[in-house]
Amino acid sequence: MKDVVLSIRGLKVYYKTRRGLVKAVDNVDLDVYEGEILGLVGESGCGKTTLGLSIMRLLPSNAIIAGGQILFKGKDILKIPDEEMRMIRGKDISMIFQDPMTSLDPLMKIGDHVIETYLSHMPVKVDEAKGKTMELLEKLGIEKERVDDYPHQFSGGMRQRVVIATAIALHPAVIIADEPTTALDVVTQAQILQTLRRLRDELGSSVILITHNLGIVAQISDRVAVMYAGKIVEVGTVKEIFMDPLHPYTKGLINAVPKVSPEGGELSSIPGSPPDLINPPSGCRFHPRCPYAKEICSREEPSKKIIDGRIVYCHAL
Amino acid sequence: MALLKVVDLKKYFPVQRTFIDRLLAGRVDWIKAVDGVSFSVEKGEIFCVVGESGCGKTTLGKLTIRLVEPSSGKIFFDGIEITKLKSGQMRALRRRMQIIFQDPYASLNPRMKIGDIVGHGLEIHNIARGEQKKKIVLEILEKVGLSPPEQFYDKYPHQLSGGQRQRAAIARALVLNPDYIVADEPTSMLDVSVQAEILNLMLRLKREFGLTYLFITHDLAVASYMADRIAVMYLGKFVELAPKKELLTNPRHPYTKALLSAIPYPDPDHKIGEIPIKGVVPSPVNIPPGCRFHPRCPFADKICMREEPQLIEIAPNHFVACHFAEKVG
Repeated sequence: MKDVVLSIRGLKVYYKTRRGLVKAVDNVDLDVYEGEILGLVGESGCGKTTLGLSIMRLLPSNAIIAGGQILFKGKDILKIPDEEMRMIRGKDISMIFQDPMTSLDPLMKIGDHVIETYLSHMPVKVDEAKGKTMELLEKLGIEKERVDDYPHQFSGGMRQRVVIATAIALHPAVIIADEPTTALDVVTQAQILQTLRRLRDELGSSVILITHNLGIVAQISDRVAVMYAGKIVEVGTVKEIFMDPLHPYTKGLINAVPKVSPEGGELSSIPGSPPDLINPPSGCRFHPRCPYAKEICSREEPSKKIIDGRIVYCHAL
Repeated sequence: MALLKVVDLKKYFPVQRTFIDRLLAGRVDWIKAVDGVSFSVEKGEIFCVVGESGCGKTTLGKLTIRLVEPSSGKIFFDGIEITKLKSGQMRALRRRMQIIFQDPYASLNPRMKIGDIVGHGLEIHNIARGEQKKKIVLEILEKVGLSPPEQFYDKYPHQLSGGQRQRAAIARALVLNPDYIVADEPTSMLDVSVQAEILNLMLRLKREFGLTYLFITHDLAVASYMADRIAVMYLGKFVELAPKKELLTNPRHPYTKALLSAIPYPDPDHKIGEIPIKGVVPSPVNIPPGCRFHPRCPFADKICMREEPQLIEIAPNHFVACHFAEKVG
């Protein structure tokens, strides 16, 4: 078993809104191992992006961390001063955002985005940083002559490669990729996914891949964590999750994904819709939609069970 | 029998520019959103148009019911050429053709109650008012799964979830008892668990009401679940058109093949292979000469830069626009 690089324990992140407290992430435990791609899947509003942002400590101002720890190299990064966190960001933990059209500064040259990353963390001169940048861009399939171009001269896929370059420039131990291909067409998406997989192999970084797309998760993850309504419901290897899902929500989700197949076959759906996280259901949050729900499910929150190395939260198992 | 027939349909939009630009440049550029598309949709069929963003699929859908006026070409609906109809005559036909939009958060008026949104068409077409309208609306709400309908009748869109809103949009399309429905990415804004419900609902309603769908999607998996026939659209044109099974098992256009190989399967044992095509979709303002796919195509030869391939039937009901369709297969 490889070492754990990042360990989240009992994390609670709530948002203050006019309607009340939104419990976006509620008591989440999650371990990220060295060099793995961990897929974090769930439907919109399940808290997966909030979880990613809390690791970066980039939560919006109305968010409160109501409890828990995020341990990186043995240190709780929720407790360290802002200045220290700034040094970790980019160097040890970095993030690739969803929309490459907005995550680059339109007034900055492509190369400067990456150069800035080097300059702010390493004792290098501008020329040296530029050299490194051109080398890196080339590795990601961008001609080095284009380092002085502006973002608007790049296509969506090329921009996302630049965003990836800024994220990996300093060989961080953990890269958080939040829906990195959602804004791209399928052909570009496939290329970016292959790039991510290759980078993980070369750099040995751990990648937390946040997405709602189960196809993407199946393609490049080693392990998968499934989130529902602010909680993790199941964590397992990609094969376990797709071939033999244990949690009723995971099962429902996998059966609801249409597959490209000439034969067809009925898609099954999960009745109802995800709950309002201001007033989440009592007990297990999935119980109102669960076909296996028992009396205990509405009363008591399921605790963590480990079944053959897999983590599941469900009373029915 | 064909319910809808479209012949060489084109829609060009002028590129918006500032006044100064226009003075200086003196010519107008055109976005060729739909650039010569012909097909027909049989009664009771689900005809899927698949393509990436910007390929013109939404414009094509809107053209077929004249929500967008074509630049040229002909549209026949149930044998009537609708391109020439005056607005009054068109309105009478509109009852029979409806559309479901992509975004259920934007397509329902937030200040109207669900009952009024769904029943609005009945009033416009002078079919029913008052109590009678309410009765019809309640029935249709029940049919689309907004049950109990009395509870939904007086609700506002913001009180509904995304899936429920899309059900209301479907109810609005169905209330006039149409023959033909354009469904423009009706599930792309919804979560997968909700998407499956809406797709199944649409299949059930199709059988129950004898509907014909033009189903537009960017997702080949969704198309393969819904379609009888699939057309693949690239830069304003169909590049391939075939019955679902034929298209998925025997794709003959390099673009279709690339799309099929690039889809991430929800199956860890089925990994994405090498993607045979390069580059990105060119701008619809500057469409490449000859075959519009040639700059990205691994099979491209001299003829492809010179001559535009026609959509040719290479096997029964299987149409491909490629000079090398034989070689690709």
